[in-house]
Amino acid sequence: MDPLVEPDAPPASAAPPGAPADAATEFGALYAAHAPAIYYLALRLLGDPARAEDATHDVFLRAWRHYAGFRGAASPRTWLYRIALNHCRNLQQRWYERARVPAAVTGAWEQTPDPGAGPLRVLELRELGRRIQQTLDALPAEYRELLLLVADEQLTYQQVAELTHQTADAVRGKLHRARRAFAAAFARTA
Amino acid sequence: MSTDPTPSHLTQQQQAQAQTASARQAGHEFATVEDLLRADRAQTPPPPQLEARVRQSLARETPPRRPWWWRWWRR
Repeated sequence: MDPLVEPDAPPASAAPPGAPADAATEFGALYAAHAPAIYYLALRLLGDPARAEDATHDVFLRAWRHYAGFRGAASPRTWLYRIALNHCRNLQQRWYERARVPAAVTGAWEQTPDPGAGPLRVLELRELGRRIQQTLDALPAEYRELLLLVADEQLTYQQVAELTHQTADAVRGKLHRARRAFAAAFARTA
Repeated sequence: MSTDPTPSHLTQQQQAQAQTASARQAGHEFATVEDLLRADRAQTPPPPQLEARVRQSLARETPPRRPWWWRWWRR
């Protein structure tokens, strides 16, 4: 079912007025398939459910406005992630930049002792969100984005590289450091 | 609901408490950061009202117009 179309409405009124029905149906499917991933990315980048909801709304609105020009050269998920990343980066610059770990401190993570390759433990899944948010907030923005994107099984390293404007090799290299920094910061949230 | 537990009810309660305690002790383990984030994502769906909100906003938007070459290009 098209999630953006009222269930009882006739097809003609389901689409935004004047929109080709197939575009609205396609876009509805796009929302259903990718909204959870986009919302999660926004939530963990912005750290606030209300802001993440607003951001996800704005991402899909922007996507709809540019939908006619979307040729499918990129996968829809990559396209939506690109819009979401740009939007969240802009919001972060406006709202958060001063409160976050400044870029100059980024190097501090390189000296973080390696917590080892042991598993990441959490006693209750309910506490998972809080601890992950605390951990991500403490990481440099670049590591945050990399980890969240790589955790999406639908993205390849190449797609993550394109989204973060670097090579796939650079992604692999930074990912190693990002995982280490995450594990060290996560252990401190227990 | 009865507040005066019968012996069998008590036993069930104790069993449930013991199970919860052991689950807490065991906790959850994730081999990688990615696994941890996937578990978090799985239990963090978008708020249910978001879909209706997006739908309402799209209804106020001008429909996207495909460029003239679209049908030709899609062949």
